Amino acid sequence: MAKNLKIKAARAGLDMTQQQLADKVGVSRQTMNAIEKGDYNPTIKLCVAICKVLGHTLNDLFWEEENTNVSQEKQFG
Amino acid sequence: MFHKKNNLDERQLLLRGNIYGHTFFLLMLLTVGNSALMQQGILWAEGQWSYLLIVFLSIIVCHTEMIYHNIYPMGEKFHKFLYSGAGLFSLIMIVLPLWEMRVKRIPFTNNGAVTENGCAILVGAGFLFMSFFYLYRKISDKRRPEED
Repeated sequence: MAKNLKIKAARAGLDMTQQQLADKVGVSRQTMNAIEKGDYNPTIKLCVAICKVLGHTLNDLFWEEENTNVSQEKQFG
Repeated sequence: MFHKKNNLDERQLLLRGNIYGHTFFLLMLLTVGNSALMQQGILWAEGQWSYLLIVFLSIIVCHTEMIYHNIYPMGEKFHKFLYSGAGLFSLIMIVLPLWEMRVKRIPFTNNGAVTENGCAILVGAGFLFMSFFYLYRKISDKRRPEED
């Protein structure tokens, strides 16, 4: 799984550490680290919680553009 | 916001499930292996110690894997107390049989089977390893930068 640099950028924009974000979301720092590194695929519930804390939408933080193009290509031949 | 259940978040709960799965598989594998050896008349540990060693080994593997993943289902304070206690218990488990073996001249193995004292030392060594691994994990976590 690819690294989620969007979360890292959004977190850095708010000048938050992984620990601070993890505390606000209610998960461990290791889990937050695994999400940013792309080692763990969070549930939609956790994605929403992260989005609320960082003040972004699900699209901003979790949508992968590459997949969109591939799916559109498949859809329209 | 995202409330943790049993002090564990969703990733940790998933990992804990996997660890329990590994432990159950290991326990099953060792029990079947031990039964097969017994069927062949091979006794590798005296008395009922073969069963006890299998159970203790599974417990140690389970806890070591949990420590590796930083998963503490009963809370960090409880586990700190648990692993400290296990460390002290392991020292007693090693020192007392060693002393008895030296005084009564009991060997570690007898006729190809580990003696009762030898088994107690093995259990103690396992728990000691678990405690030291916890200590190592805590120290390495403190030295590691906040973001890795």
